Amino acid sequence: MQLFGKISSFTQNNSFGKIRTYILCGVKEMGKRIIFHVDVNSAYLSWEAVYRLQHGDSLDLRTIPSIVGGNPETRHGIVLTKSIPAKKYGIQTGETLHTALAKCPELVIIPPNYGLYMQCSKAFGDILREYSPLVEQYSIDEYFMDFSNMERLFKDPVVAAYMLKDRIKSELGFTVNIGVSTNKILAKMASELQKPDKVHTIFPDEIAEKMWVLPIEELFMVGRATSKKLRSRGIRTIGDLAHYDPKLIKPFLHSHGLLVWNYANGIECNPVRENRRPIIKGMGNSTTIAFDIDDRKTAHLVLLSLTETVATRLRQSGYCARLVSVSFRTNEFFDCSHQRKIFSAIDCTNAIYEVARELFDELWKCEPIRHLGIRVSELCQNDFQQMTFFEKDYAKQRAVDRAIDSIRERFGNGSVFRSAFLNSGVRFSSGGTMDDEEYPMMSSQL
Amino acid sequence: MKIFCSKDSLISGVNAVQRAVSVKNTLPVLSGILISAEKQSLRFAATDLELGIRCEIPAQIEEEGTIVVPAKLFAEVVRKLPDTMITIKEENLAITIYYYQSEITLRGYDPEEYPLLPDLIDPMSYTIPTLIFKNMIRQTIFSCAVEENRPVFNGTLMQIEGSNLRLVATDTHRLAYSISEVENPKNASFNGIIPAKTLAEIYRLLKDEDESIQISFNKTQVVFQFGLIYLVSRLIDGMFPNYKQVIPQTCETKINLSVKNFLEAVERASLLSHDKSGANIIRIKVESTQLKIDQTTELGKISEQIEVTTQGNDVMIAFNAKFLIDALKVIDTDQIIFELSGPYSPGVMRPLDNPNYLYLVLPVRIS
Repeated sequence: MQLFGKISSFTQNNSFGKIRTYILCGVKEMGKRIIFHVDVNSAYLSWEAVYRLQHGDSLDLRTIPSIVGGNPETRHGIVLTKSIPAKKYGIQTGETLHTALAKCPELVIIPPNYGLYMQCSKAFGDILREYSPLVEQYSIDEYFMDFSNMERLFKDPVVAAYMLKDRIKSELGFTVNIGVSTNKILAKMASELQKPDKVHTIFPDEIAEKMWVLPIEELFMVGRATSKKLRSRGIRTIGDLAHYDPKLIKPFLHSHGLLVWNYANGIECNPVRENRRPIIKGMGNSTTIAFDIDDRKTAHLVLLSLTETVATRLRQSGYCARLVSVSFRTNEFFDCSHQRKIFSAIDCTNAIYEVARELFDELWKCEPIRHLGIRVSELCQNDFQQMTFFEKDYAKQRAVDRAIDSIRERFGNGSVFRSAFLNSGVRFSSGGTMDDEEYPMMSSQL
Repeated sequence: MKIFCSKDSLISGVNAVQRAVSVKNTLPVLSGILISAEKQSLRFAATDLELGIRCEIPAQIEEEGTIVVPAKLFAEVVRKLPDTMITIKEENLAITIYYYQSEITLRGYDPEEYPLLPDLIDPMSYTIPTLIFKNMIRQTIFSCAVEENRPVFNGTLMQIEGSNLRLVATDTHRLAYSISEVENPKNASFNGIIPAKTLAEIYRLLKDEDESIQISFNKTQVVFQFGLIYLVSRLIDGMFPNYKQVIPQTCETKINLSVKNFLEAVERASLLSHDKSGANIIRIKVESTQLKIDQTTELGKISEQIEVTTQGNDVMIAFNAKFLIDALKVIDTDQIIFELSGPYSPGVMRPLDNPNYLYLVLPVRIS
């Protein structure tokens, strides 16, 4: 018995010691760094409200229960952003418009305007770039800023953060939260603390007091699935996770467990990357169709229009794909997908479409479809192309694609499109939020 | 059933058939090995319904009988047996193995449920010297496709026409071709695609002391018999593409080079060209008496230069290094002739003074 007792206490000590050394070296190494995380409060809604105020509307959307949401008629009906008064009705991001209206019948619903968001996002990024050469756009409404070694310009980074926040408010009209810390994860956690229009800090010596008391769901990268697993093991707060033995987390959360455990301890040392392009593992596109598709021809057309966007993006990023997958959701919300490896990597719209169509035909058993998607992965560089015998040579096709891409780039996405889409009721390229500009997407990597 | 035999005979029987045991387990009984004791031999058989192997081993049979034993477990047990005379008894679908004063009992399956390996009806047959066939397999099989989306490329085309025996394998990026002269007194003719797995098994099981291999075939199946082994395989259904039309008849550059030097240079250069996506591209430059491989990647830089004799134009061409290495490793001669025709046409490797082998490799188009 005693022997066992000794061993277990030894391992506990050992792991605890490890945690502490991790934190210590983290602090030591990053002591010089100051990172800001700037996050727009209710971004879509704020931007819309500001836009309306500037165009003579007397009502500020932020002061009434309002949301930005899709159009229920085309079945894009979920809540994208909510105002703070709407939050008081218990309306949650991601729920359907239908249930939101049930909670608050006088709710004002505004359709999304992605062009406006891109403009606002850019304008706000430009202000940040006046203060630091290292600014990274992390999503449409979030930026990271490296504010290290600014002592000569700004003695106290927190004061600078206040100034920055107020300047955005007075110049652009919307409010932001700024988190200040020594790395990205802590800065991001800090900016989430209390909203709106606030500056918070979580320096390493404040982790216990400000972060560890929060429920586990508040931690970045802990979603529904992870929080369920953690809670079932008695881990309810970020502090609980931080003090857990990482060896015991690994068996049930694998590498993700180690990641969130590090985050809970404020360990993270990714640099702020300027104009970062995340490592792309795959790209996909999907769309909810305004009506249920029950004939093959229309389904193929939608598939083609999705392929157009995916293949163009694939070529723009300089990749070829070796795996194509097709997925759909039926009117009964049943999801399924099917994928295939292809002999040699491709980037032609037609080639990808052929595979996608084959996959779709194999998968589809004539159920009515509400959502269709296509995805390409196993990417490789497209600066070389292994030639093949006995197979179609796509060299000419690639030249056609290149020509079409450049026409669309110069004269707009709709300047040339396939005649199959004429009078078909299906848009010539679908999915995504923007037609030509790249919309910044969130990624799990900080 | 009751038999006596040595541990070594049991092992050789199990080893011969084990690879044919089904791994997918559509029918539980297929995960077993059929053992039957008849007259003076013990027969092992296994099949996954595509490939079937039967092997006879010498044993002393006291009582005839059959049983199906679970393949994996039985194989493990047999390998762990002591080196002594073994007695095996079958009773009520269980098999008991006796050695010294100990015994192991394993539960088996009903042999009635085990599918019979087909004996071909009306087959044509043909005999090849083992050494020739083994070498032909070795020089072609690596070119078969691994991806499973085009079944015809997962096998090797075997053609018997008069006194010619040909094996051709391709994965659409490269093509290996081997031809031999073999006596064909009965004037058999055959044209079928044999799965790469079957040929790999034959290659593994063929021993140099087996002098010849007898092949019999019909439209859908082929049987190979050698030594104590009987191997039956399904043929791959489908048309093998016309490989003759892709073999270039002329060339613009003819390079005579040493296999060893070229292989080593390509292998070294490929170390620096490994890409995360699996592509492994090397660029070759041929200038009068030199062949150069210059490679600069984020990993570093290499410049290889080997002396060669060339005829024709200078050329710059890129290949997947693996495709070159695979072929250079199986070519038996010291020198090869490497024929090129510009950066977008296939390269052809021929062993010097051996017209019976040919390897075609398509380049990589670089933008």
